[in-house]
Amino acid sequence: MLRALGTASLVVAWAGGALMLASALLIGADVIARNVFAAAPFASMELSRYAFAAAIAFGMAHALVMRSHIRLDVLHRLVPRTLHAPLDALALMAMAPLATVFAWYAWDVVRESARLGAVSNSPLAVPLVWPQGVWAAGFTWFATVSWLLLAAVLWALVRRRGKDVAAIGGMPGVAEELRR
Amino acid sequence: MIGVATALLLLLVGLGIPVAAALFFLGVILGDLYAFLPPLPALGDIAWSTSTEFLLISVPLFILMGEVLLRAGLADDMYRALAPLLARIPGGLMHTNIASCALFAATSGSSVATAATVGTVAMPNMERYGYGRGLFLGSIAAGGTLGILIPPSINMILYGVLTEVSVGDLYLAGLMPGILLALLFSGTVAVACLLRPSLGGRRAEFDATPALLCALLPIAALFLLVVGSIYAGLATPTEAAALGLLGALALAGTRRALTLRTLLDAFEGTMRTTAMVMLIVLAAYFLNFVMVNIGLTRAVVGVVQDLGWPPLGVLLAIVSLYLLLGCFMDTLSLMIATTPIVVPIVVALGYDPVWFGVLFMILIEAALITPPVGMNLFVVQAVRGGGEFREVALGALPFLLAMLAMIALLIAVPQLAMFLPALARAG
Repeated sequence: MLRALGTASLVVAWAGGALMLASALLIGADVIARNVFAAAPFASMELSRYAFAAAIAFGMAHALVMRSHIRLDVLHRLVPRTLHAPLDALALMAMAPLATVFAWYAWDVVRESARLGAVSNSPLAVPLVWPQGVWAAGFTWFATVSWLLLAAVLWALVRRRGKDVAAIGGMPGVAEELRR
Repeated sequence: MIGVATALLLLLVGLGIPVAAALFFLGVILGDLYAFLPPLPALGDIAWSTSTEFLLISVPLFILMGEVLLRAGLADDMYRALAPLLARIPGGLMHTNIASCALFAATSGSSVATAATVGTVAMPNMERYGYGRGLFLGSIAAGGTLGILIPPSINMILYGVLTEVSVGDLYLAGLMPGILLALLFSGTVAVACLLRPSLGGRRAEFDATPALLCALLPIAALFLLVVGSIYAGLATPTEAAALGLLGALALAGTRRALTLRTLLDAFEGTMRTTAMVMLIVLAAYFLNFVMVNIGLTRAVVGVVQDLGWPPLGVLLAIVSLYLLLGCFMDTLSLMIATTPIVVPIVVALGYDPVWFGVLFMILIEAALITPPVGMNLFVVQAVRGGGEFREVALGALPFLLAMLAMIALLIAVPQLAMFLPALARAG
């Protein structure tokens, strides 16, 4: 199941990267158009913002699966190896509620926009519930993945499988970081 | 209040929970303890406005550009073109390491990427020509740090976003100190090799070097496209990053280095790093909102002012504190977490936030090469793939002296940084 989660988060990250590349194309076209024809016809300023918000919100789950959210390893260096697993579990215990709170208040923003019927202050007049909804969905995905990983790491912890804990929630070494 | 906040931060970060979570929970707890209204309901709006900050879009674009350039094999040509030029100076290829880093930094916004890219190309020469290992490795680790000082720079963008300082000004301000620091690094190598000629290795023989112009042209073109377009006022930093990414893709395409696989790998790496950075930024914005709300920022500035120290004394204390923290903390989290509190202090003392931004970058560069936690040392050690870590850490120390000299210079002669931005405003 964890492997499926990893694959899903990877595909989502690819999509996020593609979205940023598409934004770059749009922004580039607008810059050239602005400097040559004094017009920016592609609304890149607005669309790329929505793309960015969606890409990062959905990307956070992937960073979590890849154990890329930065942690300081001061304590790790001081304590014996057997204590690493509980510390790694603690890190995920902090992440899961954080992701949930972010998702909760992101939907709050969507609800508020829906209530007010808010549209973007631009020629496109995009109803804000759409980009905000995608963004909130991204945080929801982040929260879902966090709780699943936390469950997996706790399960590995009670079965005293230290290696599994490290594989799910440990700190990657720099060598591992560079091989990616 | 200040004591409680500091103790909580140390506790949370020290426990080894993700830095973003530590900052976030610090904000929640401080809000709970000191705020009139619970701050959490503001989280959604803060997160949405930060997630749609146009300037921050340049972060993934610059990272993606770096990932593409890394795979395009540009550094290889550049290195071989520069090597014969600099071979006569005592220290030979170590100057090539530094010059390659400085040039690559002009297209890259990251110190780690710069050290990794140049390190991969340079490493085989170390044993082949019998260089003193420490200094050779140190020159790559230190040279790589130029990535964030010489524009473009991802760290400067984050600094600009957090302090509401113009990134264009920061890019102008960083250019001369960047070049100067590269020259100081080269001077360090030359002096070390004059004192101990055995460090210098044998004269490298490079046959069939590609024409210098051919190798440097793509770099120059990219620099003009990205940084030139900002300097000329044709593009904002994010637009320049988009142009740079498209340019890098075109370059990789003509060199047949672009496949679906490499592109997907680049996407993956970009989103992983960007999401990680952005979660810290979101948490820091929330924490900053709480700190301003409960008056913590003002209290800290007040305490520093009440000390009655001369501004220079406070500044030197800040510099020392960063040099110390830099030994232990990850630089990115250090920067994002402390900027909102330190910059108001510095500005209250009468210093220019653009100038301090440049100084800050050099402090972060120092943090990247100070053990036990120095990311560029780790990178060089990993690229090397074996041997003692101590050699890298010791080898980088002379370059730390060069950085300290640069910091002193910048404090003594602020115009080194402020000259170009002032010129741009006048012109």
